[in-house]
Amino acid sequence: MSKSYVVANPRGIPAGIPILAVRRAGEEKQWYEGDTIAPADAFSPEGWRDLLAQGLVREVT
Amino acid sequence: MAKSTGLGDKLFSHGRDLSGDVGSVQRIETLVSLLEVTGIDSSTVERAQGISDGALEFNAWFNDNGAANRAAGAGSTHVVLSTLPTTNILLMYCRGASLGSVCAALSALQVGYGGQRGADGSLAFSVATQAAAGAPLEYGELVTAGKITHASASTSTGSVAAAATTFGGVGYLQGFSIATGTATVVIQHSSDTTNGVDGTWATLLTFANTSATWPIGERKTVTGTVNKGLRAQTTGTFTNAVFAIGFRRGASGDRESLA
Repeated sequence: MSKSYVVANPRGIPAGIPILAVRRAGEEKQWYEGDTIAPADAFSPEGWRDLLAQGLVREVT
Repeated sequence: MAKSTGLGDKLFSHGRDLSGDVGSVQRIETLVSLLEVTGIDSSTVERAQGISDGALEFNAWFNDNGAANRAAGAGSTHVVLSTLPTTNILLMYCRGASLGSVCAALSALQVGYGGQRGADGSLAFSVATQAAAGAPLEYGELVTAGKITHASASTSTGSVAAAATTFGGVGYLQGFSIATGTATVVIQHSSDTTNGVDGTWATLLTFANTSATWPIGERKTVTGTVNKGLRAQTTGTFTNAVFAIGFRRGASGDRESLA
């Protein structure tokens, strides 16, 4: 079964402000704390790895 | 590496664009005191670095923008500068007004407003400011192309550095005007952008005082990793927010570690 992830907020960004955004080919999507997100949502595998490394996404068990 | 002049430079003071009224800038200085710590076993002076400091001094032409605006201070550097604000102001001297332009930022107190009427009929005022918030004059780069306008919540094209850094950083906001509503202004960073537009972006720093009445200025620090891409974003419900943002990446030798 594939893993599931949600957006985390390690920097304590105030509520109501997007934590993440991905812009691709002129279109932008935003995520708030607690939103579900998948590796394919990131702009690149490198971007996804950075999100994991910075604790911006966490696996949901 | 190219030499440059100071043509086309800007001077912002706590959300006011003074550029058109400033005739010259005498001092843009970051400095550190030296302490003599010579031991009796030394025949030459020994020194150690003490506290740091900063100063920015300039001459402004008299401009009260006419009787209609004197009370409000709109567009009037005279009204703004002559009051000698009692609270800290954030100044930014920008070497150009392009994305990535070098900027010097100083959170300071204004210590003087001295006028001179020259024999040639000129009327200029010297303005002195000194560091007052525990931070010296700091050099960074513009994250916006100078003063920009967001008509509504949006993002701007960002800058891309050679690589990420891990020593935190300092963001500087100059909020000039906002027509209606309240805007939240943030800096986002990205590890995978190549052009400052596309990429995976995360909110790095949120300026806290944007709900106050504009014009505003704010200096805010952030710790840890700062990715190579930086861009400005506004959120909320508002119209026509005019602002400028600078950012200084931390370094390993910083006095205040933001790692």
